[in-house]
Amino acid sequence: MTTVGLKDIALSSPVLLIGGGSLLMLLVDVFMGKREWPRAFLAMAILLVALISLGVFYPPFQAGVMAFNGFVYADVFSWLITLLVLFGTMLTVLIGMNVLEQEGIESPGEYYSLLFMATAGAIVFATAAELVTLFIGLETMSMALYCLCGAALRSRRSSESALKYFLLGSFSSAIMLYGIALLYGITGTTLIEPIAEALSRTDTVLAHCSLALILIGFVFKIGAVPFHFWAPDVYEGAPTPVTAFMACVIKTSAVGAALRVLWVGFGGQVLFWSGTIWYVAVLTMILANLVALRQRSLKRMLAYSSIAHAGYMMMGFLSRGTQYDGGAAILYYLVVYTILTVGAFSVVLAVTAKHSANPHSDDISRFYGLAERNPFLALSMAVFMLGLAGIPPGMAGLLGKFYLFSAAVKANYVGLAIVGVLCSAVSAYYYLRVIVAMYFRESDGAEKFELLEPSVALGSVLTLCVIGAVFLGIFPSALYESAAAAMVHF
Amino acid sequence: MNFDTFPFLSSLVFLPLVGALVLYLLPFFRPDHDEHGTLSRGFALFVSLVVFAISLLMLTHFDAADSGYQFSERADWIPYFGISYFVGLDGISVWLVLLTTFLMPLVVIASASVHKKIRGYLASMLVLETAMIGTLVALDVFLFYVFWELMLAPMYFIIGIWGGKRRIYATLKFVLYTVVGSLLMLVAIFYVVWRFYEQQGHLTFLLDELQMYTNLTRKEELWMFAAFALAFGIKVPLFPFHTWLPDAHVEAPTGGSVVLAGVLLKMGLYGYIRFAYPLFPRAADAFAPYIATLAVIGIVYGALVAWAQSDIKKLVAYSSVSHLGYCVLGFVAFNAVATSGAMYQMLNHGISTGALFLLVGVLYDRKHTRLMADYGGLAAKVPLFAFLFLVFTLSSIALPLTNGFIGEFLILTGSFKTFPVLTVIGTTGVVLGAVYMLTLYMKTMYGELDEGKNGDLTDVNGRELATFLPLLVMVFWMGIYPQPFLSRMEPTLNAYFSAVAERRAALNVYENDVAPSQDIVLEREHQQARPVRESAAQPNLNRAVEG
Repeated sequence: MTTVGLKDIALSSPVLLIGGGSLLMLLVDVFMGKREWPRAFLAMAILLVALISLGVFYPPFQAGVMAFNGFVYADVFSWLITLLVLFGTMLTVLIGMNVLEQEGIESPGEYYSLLFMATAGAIVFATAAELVTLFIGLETMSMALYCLCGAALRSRRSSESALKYFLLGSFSSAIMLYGIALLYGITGTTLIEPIAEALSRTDTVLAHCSLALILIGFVFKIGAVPFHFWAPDVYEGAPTPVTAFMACVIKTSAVGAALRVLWVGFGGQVLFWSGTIWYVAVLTMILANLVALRQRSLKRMLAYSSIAHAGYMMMGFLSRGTQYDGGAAILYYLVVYTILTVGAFSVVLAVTAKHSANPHSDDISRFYGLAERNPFLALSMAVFMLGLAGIPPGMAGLLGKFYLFSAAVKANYVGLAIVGVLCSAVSAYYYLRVIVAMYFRESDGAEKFELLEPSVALGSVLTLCVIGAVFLGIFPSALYESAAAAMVHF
Repeated sequence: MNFDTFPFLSSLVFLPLVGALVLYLLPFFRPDHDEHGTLSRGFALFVSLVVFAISLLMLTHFDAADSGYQFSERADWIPYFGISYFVGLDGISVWLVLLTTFLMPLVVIASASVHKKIRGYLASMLVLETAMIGTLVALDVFLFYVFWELMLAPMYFIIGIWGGKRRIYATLKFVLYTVVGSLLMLVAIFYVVWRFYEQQGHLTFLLDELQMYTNLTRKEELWMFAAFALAFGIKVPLFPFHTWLPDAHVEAPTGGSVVLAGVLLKMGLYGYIRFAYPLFPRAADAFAPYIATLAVIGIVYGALVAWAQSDIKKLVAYSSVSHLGYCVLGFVAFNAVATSGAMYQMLNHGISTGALFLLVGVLYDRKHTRLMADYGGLAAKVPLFAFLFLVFTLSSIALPLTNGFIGEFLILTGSFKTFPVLTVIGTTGVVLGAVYMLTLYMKTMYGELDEGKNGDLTDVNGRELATFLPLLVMVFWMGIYPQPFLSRMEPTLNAYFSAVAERRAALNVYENDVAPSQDIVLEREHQQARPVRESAAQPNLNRAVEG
């Protein structure tokens, strides 16, 4: 019964390549001297190979199979999430090129190794069809991430962020594990689909308890209210490339995993969890957007913004249907959100990298007059901010909201959609405030703080993100339709 | 050139955008900086004149007798959701498009008073032109929404970068007010579209289809209309949502004010007549008395506040609140006379208020103050300026033979049939308008000239005259011979009224036969996956009402 064949290896080749790459990075680190760029190139090479292997093995994914005796999903949804995770990691590597030292990361080899470990964990977490596998993925990802947050060894803020994340993160993981254990006790299995089947026969209070515990774990990882408290502090303290990685890759993988567990595993308990998710979504949108209004630190502001966007995506969880449903909308939104968020963090990185030891390096006043000092950075940031607010020319953000809100209205959550749009009107204020700082204010002393000369890598990430932010919205069909196709065999 | 197949409307919409991109990339072509912006200004003027020429060419080929969409173009945009790029021109939009393309070259000429970052200013203006024309010609609801939102960003930059002292406050207020309204409208759009989907089995965002085949209960209609009317009411702006307007106007640079007053505010009115009324006719009827009341309050209140202003620009801004009140009144009265009057008045207001803002700009450029108290007795010093000021003042207070008279006369005649009492109250606005405008004229142009302050004031120069002459011609042309304008609106309006009447009847039939008492569902409610196609006869089966 339990044989692992070549096919399993092929289907999970991205994970294996990234995981192996992580070990390889550690191994060759010894021979690479002090320089940063050979490691970055090696990292990019490994990522490219992983992407290629993902592309090559598309056909079996399209057929929608399972790998490792039904422990891992290999369908289009998994494929897309893996692609997005790899894409996010690639952007992280690119924006980090040649700034790691300035960000206080002294051992780049370890950094890349941990980054890959987290990526491999994220892929396993999002594609697992079995709860223990899912948990192992979660832990691999989280453990590596705790270390990454503290990668700036001499920075107290970095260490603080690592410790905070570790303490709260391990709590949430433990709570989730408790839920999984309870579920195993009720159903006698840890495979998601048999769980659904077993629960359809024995829907008890205990099952609801385990669902609640598992939900807490997911809400924590997604970073939604009320388990969001870690996010601003951790985002602020961690080195900026790590923050960007957390904001996009971790969120992508957690949303993917949660979607699978809730829609497939607890599909029958929908009446129970939809109420909870409804409140979580509403609270998340309202609270995060209101608190973001008061932030002066751009990293904290983007942290709250990422919480808010998690809230919008929560709306998608509620609207499951056969067509035009929340799943495809969430996938589309994740892509757009990744592009916009990584783009925004790259600009923050360019402004702060030379002063990363200073706790006020990402204060909004440092962005005053940026349009004069570096028009390219300012224009890109303006596009990202408009995109996050959903105002053209940030068309991708507008279309993302279009899909999510229309799915919510279709599922008759009109009230929720109204809360959502009002919150995004609120969010326009703090996104536009960044444009105010960059374009409408005089630099007012900010010019003293030298900007990072954007490297080719950073420049190309920014260009790519700007193009994506505009054109993904003007030509959204290809992406949305493949997302919709992914949800057909979900 | 083949007139039947050439994409006139698309070139009209996207040419300014292309121009803006070229302008933005100009430093790459001309590395030796365009120091004084002469090249940028020349190029922007060229683009806007080409656009104007195209629109004139279209006007000559516009079939006045045809009530349907002309020059229409259609392509799939997001086929999965039934969203298409569908644009067309009819009697309702044609003059507004012309007004936009007509004002834009003038704004570019008037940009001489902008000194910093001229390239960005002109590029923003051109993007704004694309957005405005796009809004006016879009016949797909989502396309309309995208262009509608696209108007925000350029105007946000125009006020924020080139505005006065309180520009940041003003521009944020402008954007936030508009965004709240338009996002709620987006939810309403979704709701209508999904109702259509439930009833017809496929998705579309085309206005015509939604208008013909979406059945809504009265209560649904009221909610949807409220969302649309809020979005449009904020844009117009209708009292009490007007507070962003004086701030935005006072802080905006001259060109920004001209575009804001001339075209942007009309978008709210246009949206009302194009989308809100035909989609939700019964709700519009139900709301009409309330909206008319707000409009009349706006007329009188705007006029009174304008009277109390000491800042000339603020006075003109409040006069806009008052004047647009008439347009709203004309539209909600909903008869042929009042509606065509309101449409005409939209054009008049664009011309006379645009000209007044340009005149204020001329004064401000010279003396850097807009306070009435700083001026006086200018008529002797700058006779040509005084003459222009007089003409546009008279046009603004609707003296016979000027354009304003025709519009106000038609509106008041038409709306008297529907809202006699409100119209009578609203008529006091005409008197008040004369009071505050003539007071303004008297205080600035007559009286003692302060030699020390204004002795060095120079008269209107050739460039400025070039902006005023076309407006001057239009004031008299539209005041003396309005027929060419009205005759092109008429067939469309007639068809429009009968289409709305049909829809009203169809909705009533639907209400009586099919859906006796269904409530709108505003509360959360989970639904299991339902089949893709639902029968049109039982559209409400899945809409359980939750208390």
